[in-house]
Amino acid sequence: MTAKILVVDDEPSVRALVRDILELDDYEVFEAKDGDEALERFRADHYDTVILDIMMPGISGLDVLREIRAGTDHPEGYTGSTSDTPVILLTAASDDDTTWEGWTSGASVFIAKPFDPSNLLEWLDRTVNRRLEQHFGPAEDEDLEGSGDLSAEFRGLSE
Amino acid sequence: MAEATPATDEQEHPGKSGVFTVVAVVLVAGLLAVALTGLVLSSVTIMPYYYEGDALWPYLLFLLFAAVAEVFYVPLRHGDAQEQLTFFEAVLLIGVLIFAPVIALVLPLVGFLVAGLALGLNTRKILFNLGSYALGSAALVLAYVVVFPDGGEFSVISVIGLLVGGMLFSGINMLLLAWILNADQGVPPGEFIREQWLMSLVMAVGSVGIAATAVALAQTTPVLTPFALLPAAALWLAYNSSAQQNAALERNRWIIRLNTAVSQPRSTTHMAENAAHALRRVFEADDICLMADGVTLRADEPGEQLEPHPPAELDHRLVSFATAQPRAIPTALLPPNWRSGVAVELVLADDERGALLLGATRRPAGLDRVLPWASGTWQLRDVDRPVLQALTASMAGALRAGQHLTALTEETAKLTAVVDHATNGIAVYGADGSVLMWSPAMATISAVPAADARAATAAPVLSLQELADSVRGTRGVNNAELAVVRDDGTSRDLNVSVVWIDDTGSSLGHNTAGALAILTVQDVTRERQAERAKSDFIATISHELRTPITPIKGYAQLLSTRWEQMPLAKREKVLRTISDKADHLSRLVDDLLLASNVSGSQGEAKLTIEPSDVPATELTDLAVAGFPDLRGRIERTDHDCVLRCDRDRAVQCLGNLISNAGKYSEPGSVIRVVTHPCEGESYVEIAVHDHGRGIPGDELGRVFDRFYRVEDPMTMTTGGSGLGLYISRELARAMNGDILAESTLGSGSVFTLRLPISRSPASGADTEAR
Repeated sequence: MTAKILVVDDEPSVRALVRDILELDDYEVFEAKDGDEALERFRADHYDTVILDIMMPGISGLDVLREIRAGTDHPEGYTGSTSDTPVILLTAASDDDTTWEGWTSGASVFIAKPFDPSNLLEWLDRTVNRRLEQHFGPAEDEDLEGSGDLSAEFRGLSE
Repeated sequence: MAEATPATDEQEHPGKSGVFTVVAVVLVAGLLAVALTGLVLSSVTIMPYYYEGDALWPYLLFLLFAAVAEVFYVPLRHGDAQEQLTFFEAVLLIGVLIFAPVIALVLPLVGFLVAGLALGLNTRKILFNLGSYALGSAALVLAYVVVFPDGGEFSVISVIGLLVGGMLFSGINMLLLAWILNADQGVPPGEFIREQWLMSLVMAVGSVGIAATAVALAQTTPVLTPFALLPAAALWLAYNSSAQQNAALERNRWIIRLNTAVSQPRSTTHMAENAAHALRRVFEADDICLMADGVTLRADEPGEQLEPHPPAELDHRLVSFATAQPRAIPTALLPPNWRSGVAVELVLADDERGALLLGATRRPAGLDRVLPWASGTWQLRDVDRPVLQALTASMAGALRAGQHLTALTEETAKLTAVVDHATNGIAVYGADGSVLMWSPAMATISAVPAADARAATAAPVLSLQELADSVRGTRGVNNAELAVVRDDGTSRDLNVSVVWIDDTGSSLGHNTAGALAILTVQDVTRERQAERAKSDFIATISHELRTPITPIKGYAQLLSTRWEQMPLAKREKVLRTISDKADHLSRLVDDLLLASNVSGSQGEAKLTIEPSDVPATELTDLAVAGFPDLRGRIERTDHDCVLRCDRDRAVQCLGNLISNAGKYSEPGSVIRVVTHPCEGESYVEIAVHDHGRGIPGDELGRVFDRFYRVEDPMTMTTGGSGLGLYISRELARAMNGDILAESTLGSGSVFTLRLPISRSPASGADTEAR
């Protein structure tokens, strides 16, 4: 089954670029041009990973992220497991404050624009396949990976 | 004994017109009285008199007596005026008893005049006394003749006549003296007469006694006649010692006043004003000079207050000449017009000296002037030397204190000026938290007037506790930047420093009980705003620059890694995107460069304008052509005319306005581009109307600011650099035009490009022909 990726960016050329990159690796790409559309799509469907811009008209990417993580007052399909959907922040705003805010809001990965497509693909592979934790920490984490309690680990990371 | 009344000591109040009037009236009245009396007495021979001989010497002796009587006077001070007690009346009475009444009347007056001139008395004094004596003498002689018309030996009647005459003489003199003292010194006449009447009476009786005794002795035992002078001498000595005692008392009072004057901290000028009069009085000097503190003070006229004088007038060697002991000033060093003087040193500081000079400008009056053994000049009396020395020392002390006080006052004034004009707000809080000082800048920054801040009722916008909490530190200076919301609702960014000091002014490390807090507040609102604008701009620019770079870099890397996997059409599309984005990036960089050029007002970096004649329609054509996607939405109203402008720049300006209209208005809404002439056909305006959200009034003026954008950069809806309108307006102005903005919130904005119409129709036609 192909993984479904939601790409949120107000800049059409960036959406097109991400689509071109991802489609070469057989991801199924869905686009949203702003925060409202992103949340609308997110609530309506399941995505394996969300690639999210921060500086957008209307609701900012960080607000979208917090909304996703909060997972409240939404119809079914947007509860429980949907709120820990991996979110890759893909943004030009890569200053320390924004990065920190991104992490504390529950971002899985932070990629600065302009970005290397291979990088994006590698991170995407990890988030989609829930192998994110492999990237962190010393060897003992490898053992934890073996325990299979991936979602608990992920939750811990994303808080 | 007679009472003489040389009234005004002319030193003190020169030039009083009232005094002149009195003198003139008295003189005229006196001379008239003498003339009339002389006329009456010479026409009627009513009584025999004692001497009718032909020899001249008794008359000369009588004249001499009159003159000498004037010389031996006893000075009596009345305020600033001096009265002189003399034996004139006694001489006059002797004359009445011996000579014909006219001789007795005129000779003493002549004697008085000779003595007055010889002694160098003041003219006014002589004239007043002459008039006063003349009136009194006429009254005396007339009274005696009327009471005792028969003449002959002494009898009760003749003694009564003498007493009546003497009393008339004394009374008239007393009244006239009261009059002139009142005119000159403001002495109440009633008071003066109450004080004087008894003495006048006693003197009248005494004079009669002396005269009668002398004449009686001469008649009976001529050998003993000179001894008749003894009671006069005794009386003179008694009066003299009494007068001297009075003078000493008076002088003591002046010394006390002088002491008070020099015991308080004074500036040199103040000191001089307070001490000058007393100094002159105590030491009987005509003039004083004070050389201290870089100023020299001297009165222009004797009796005037001391005033600063050009230092050149006083020889500055006097300062080094003066010693702690009063020294007589050598002639070479004397101040101008001085006849003699002494100098005393004033020790003002360890290395600073001044001098006090006392001296005389006039020749001495009285015997000192005529007696061969008198010095003829003013001298400091030996008894006065220690007094002067002591006074000078305490004067120097007061001047030193005065200098310190002046320095302190000046220092305080400077500090106050610094506080008042400092751009940083300064406030001082007392130990109880009350505001002790609130500088004008503080009032401006905090929007709390000083009066309100000091009043306990209005809590200053910066409460000490709040600040102390915010500005907590362990060092002497505690600094913090605070955002303060003022009473008027506006917010200011303030850089606040607090220093705690104790009451000696030493800095304390921290707030302790009883400490004063000195607050310095710098308003950094504008700086922070500029910083925010700058960081907003940098955030914007970095976002704007990254936006096209992202697809360029991403696609380039994609091509290099996945070339094989990509179909040809895809590769072409990707390469086109890269090219487009590179163009966009290039335009952005051009914009930035242009912006920095138009803002660089000096040097060759300033952008160049190449004006030519451009038809307005052509300009609009070119500008609109740049926006193919807006073509369907643009409605044009053209006006045929030729503009004088740089074609490319003008197109850039108008294009920017159209681009903005497209960006900021509802999709599909109409954009109207209206060309119309204005200002007497010398300008044409091309107005671009949109139907966007409009711009709030307070932001409308700022849309032309560099890097200013209506939206927050984090949520902006447009991809502008924040430079477009700024650049466009700068360009328009460089072409002698302008860009104007109007907006109605909710219904849209109008941005108008105004450009000058070409003034050469030929070239305009030429352009059109092309």
